[in-house]
Amino acid sequence: MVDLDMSEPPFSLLNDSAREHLRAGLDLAYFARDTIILDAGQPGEFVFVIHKGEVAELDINEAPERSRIGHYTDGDLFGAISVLNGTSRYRFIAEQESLCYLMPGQLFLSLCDSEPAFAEYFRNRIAEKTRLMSQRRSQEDVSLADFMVARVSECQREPLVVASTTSIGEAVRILRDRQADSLLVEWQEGLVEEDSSRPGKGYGMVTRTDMLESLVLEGADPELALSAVASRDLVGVEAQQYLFEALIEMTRHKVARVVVWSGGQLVGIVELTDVLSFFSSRSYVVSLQVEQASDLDDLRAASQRVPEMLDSLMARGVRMRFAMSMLAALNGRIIHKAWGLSMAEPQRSACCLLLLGSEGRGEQVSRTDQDNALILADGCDWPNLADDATHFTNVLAELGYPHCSGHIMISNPQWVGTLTQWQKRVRSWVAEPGPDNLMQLSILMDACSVAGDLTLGDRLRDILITETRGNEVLLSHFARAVLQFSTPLTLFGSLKRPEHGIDLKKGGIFPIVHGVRSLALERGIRATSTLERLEALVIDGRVERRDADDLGEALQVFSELRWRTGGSVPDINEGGANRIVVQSLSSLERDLLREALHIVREFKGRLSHRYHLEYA
Amino acid sequence: MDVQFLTYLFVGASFVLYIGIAIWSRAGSTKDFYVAGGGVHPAANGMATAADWMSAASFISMAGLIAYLGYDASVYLMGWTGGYVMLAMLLAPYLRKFGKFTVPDFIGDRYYSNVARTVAVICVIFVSFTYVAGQMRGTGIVFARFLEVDVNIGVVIGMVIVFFYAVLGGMKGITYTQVAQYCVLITAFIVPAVFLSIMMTGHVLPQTGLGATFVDAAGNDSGQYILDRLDGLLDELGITPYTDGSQPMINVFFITAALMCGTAGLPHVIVRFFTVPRVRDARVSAGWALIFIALLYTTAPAVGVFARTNIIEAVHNNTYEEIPGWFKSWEGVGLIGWLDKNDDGRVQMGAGDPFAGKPDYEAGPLEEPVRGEHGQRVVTNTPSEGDNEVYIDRDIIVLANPEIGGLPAWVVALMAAGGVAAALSTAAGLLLVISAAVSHDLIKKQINPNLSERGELIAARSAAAVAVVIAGYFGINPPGFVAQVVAFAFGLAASSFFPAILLGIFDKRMNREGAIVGMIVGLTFTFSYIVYTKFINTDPSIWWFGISPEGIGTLGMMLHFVVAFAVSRVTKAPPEEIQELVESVRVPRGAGVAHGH
Repeated sequence: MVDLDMSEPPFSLLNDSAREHLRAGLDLAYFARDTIILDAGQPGEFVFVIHKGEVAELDINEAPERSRIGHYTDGDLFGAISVLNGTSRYRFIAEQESLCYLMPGQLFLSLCDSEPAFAEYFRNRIAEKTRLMSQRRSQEDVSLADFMVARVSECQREPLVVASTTSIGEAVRILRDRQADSLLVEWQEGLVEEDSSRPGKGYGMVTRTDMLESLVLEGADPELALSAVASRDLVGVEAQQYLFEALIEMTRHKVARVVVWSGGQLVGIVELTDVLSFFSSRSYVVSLQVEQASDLDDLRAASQRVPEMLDSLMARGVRMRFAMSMLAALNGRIIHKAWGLSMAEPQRSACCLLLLGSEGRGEQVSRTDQDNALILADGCDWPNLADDATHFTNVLAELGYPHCSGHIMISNPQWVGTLTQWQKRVRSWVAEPGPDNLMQLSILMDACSVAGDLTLGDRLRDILITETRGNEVLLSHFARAVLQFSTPLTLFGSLKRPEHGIDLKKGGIFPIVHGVRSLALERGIRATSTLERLEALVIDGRVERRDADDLGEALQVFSELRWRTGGSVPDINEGGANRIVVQSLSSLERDLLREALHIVREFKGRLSHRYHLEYA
Repeated sequence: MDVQFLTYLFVGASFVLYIGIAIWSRAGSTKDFYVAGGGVHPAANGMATAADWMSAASFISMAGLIAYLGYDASVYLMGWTGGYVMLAMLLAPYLRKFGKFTVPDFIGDRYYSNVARTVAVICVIFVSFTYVAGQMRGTGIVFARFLEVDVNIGVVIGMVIVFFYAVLGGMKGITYTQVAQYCVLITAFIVPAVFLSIMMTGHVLPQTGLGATFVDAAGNDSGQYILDRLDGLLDELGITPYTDGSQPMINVFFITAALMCGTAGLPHVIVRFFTVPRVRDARVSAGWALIFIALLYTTAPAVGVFARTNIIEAVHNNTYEEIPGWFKSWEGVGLIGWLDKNDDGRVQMGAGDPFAGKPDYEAGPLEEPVRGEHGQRVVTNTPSEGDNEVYIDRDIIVLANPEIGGLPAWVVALMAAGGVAAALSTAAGLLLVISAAVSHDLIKKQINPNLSERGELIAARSAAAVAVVIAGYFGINPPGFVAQVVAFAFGLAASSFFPAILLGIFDKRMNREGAIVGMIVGLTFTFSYIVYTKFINTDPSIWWFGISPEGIGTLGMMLHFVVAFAVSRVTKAPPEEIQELVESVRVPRGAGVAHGH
């Protein structure tokens, strides 16, 4: 008697009778090591659930070292996509002797039909897989990948429905009042085509253009009912369809709008412009609000919308790096504006406000403490500097940037100074690369000027570069922190799986960010974001293109996994938000994580050799 | 429990300890960001430096040299400790300010010349190779004795272990591993010394035991000083008394100077000064290191005296059957040989070598040892003049000391662990220097600047592997005893880098031409002299001014200074910015000062 564990998803989503049905249809098969269970191009006849063993998923079109794209072990399920698609794209091969439950394809499809939750589970998995796979494959297809998984329901707007007896004049008024440019027209009795069976038969549509043409070109009476001008040929999509399918429908029918149905009910409308501005619309609104703010209250209102905007971007599957750049840009604008609103001339322009740390690198996934510093022009006279600086940090706190617990803020005189004073500081840090000084140097390395006289920021960067150039001893001490935390991989290269999870920040993100920062220090690179630094290092010839790409990808994997587990937890420095329990990841995510950690481990090895970190 | 088992246990346990510490120190995921390197106490760093510093030569061979050479061997004590002081005071703080991690990098930048850098790389590789070869020999002896195999097989085993430990294990240079190694080696060295001191003089401290009177087994004070007693024994055998030097003063001076200056230029020790963030901490660590080094160095003379006395008493005029087991064990390894010249069945000791070269045993058809009538291994070497019938390899003195003194089995086992610790820590540090010099300073900076980082890493590993193999070859066919092999390395270092570094720091007029010519002259001269006097014509009477090959480095160094100075004054002065750099390095600008206005 076969005994499949039904307590885990997706089987837990089935009701008792469906489970019985499933159980009765299951078979058990044994595969010897290296057997091809399902080959690429072969029709998908079964869904496989591993009882015991290990199965690898290979992309036979890739070079051998890149071909391994998935790994499945006890309790994992594979082959569902092949059943849904008809044939398998990849090859599944038993890496160990494996015992699998076989669920016939017909049974699987019938369960999907009868159990919506079950079907949804697979649809999500496919979507997630598509997203992760395409992200992994190529940088260029990113936005396409994001687009691919967005659903119609995420982009639709409320339909404006009017009766077909409404006059054109009235309709124009409604359009103006509601700032819309199309209306749905509900046909009155007698106008509905009885012979049609399509869901849209009760509705028609009228657009601004339709009405304008009838009024101007055809000289229609504004009192004419809409039924005369509305189009009957509505193109519709289901709310659960992908957004790109809506776009395909629009292109095919040469229309700019489609209506959205759900269960035979009209639920919304999707406009072409909505689809196209899908990703940027909300951020656009917020940044507009920031630019238009005329006092701190306006700015606060705009600032409060940032986290919400970020969440929605991420929820829609926008790639992490775009979300991060968006946040960085907005933070920069808000702080710039706040500086302008709360500081008086001439001091306002006689100094340069710097954002430090992850804010300076533009690599935040959520808002964190404010980290900032100030460069004063030499000879700048500012009697109330201390009070003004404290006031400004309070302003930022009100705007949603809490005070920095480490006092790395302009209210702390250590982070304020003229260029000469900064130069002295940098010199003393370089002369004694102890832990505190190295930390300060790292923080300053990531400084990005946002307000005031930005040339001062450039000159500080010059100072940093000249004071550290060619200092191998400093570089060695600086880079040492890369080895601070062990990579959570076992001796044999598989993921460690502690109960409390592995720390993504310490095990993955920090080594990459700091390692790249060390390389940037070595080569005197001015960029502050890790990805830009990598790009500059490639151009500089210091890092191979392949390695830079790998590191960028790995960073992306860590950031996304962290965001998924931590979400917008305000304080990312709390260990909990950075931890991820390997057991809770899907097999694909585990693979991505493992590969990313291998990239980190290799990177550490190379840095360790280059900077003589063997002496720990 | 027998010695064999205890040895496995101690050596095994010490390895577990080192690996455990390495894993523990790497695997901190609970640590905070940016504290790396900052938390090491200067005393711990001092111990680590001492472990790097005290090689198999210091541990295994130096006391052996002292036991045989007596007063003459004091050059090693003075030279090595003096060199350390010079390194800590005169060179390291300045090199650090230049911001260069390796000696070739310093030379290359200071003399604005890739040729100078290449010459320096070659010197580094050469010196480190020689030094590593000494370590291999030492490790081989330890493994040979305690695994009861031939010394050559012992060297091969040592090679494999050192390679895995240093290159693949990724646990080279970790401070706390080195601290553990120091603790193991110093315990292993001190414990038997204390035991012997108590047995022979009643003093707990071997340092004071050396100047005390002899106490017999029953505890009666003989009233005779232990040194007088040894001199008396040696006198009977017709050997130069222990406390008399046989070397001319000029040679003593030259050897000491060569060792001092060579030490100061040793690349793997300089590196340790760069791993501490603050200059002040580096100096404090150096002070601690000196204390930890002195602990061993002040014990060594006593160990030498005790061992020599015990050996003569145990061996001289006894029949082969009467002689204790250790004699036969080391004979089995191939480091003791007896040739019964007068056929009296008794082992006589005397002045000079018993026969030419190292023992060459007669072997049966299956390579099994052929035994003489008394059970000894038959030696086929040509007998030399004189009464001495016994060859005892000096490198075994320290290792055999506990057995000779009849100490408990665990002390013997501890000795093995100490010897392995000493060899491993130094060999690992040197391999690191060699691989960095070859892969980075030579290949990446000279031969192929387009080499990828990955390629560099592969080059580094290959260089270490090649280094181990070559070192192993010299370990099997040593051009001298461990301490002497190492002394050559120092001589070469003294004549090549030391003047280049010193002039680079203190003479701002010193230029590229002077440095290159100086290094080449110093190195070539010293190398040729050593090769000629050691291998081609070994007759000491041809030595210039009576200077032995061990001391010739000093002459090479003087030549280097003179040539470099002369050449630099007749050629173009170094560029302005280099002169400014040299100036600024000597002006204390570092710690604290920068806070001023």
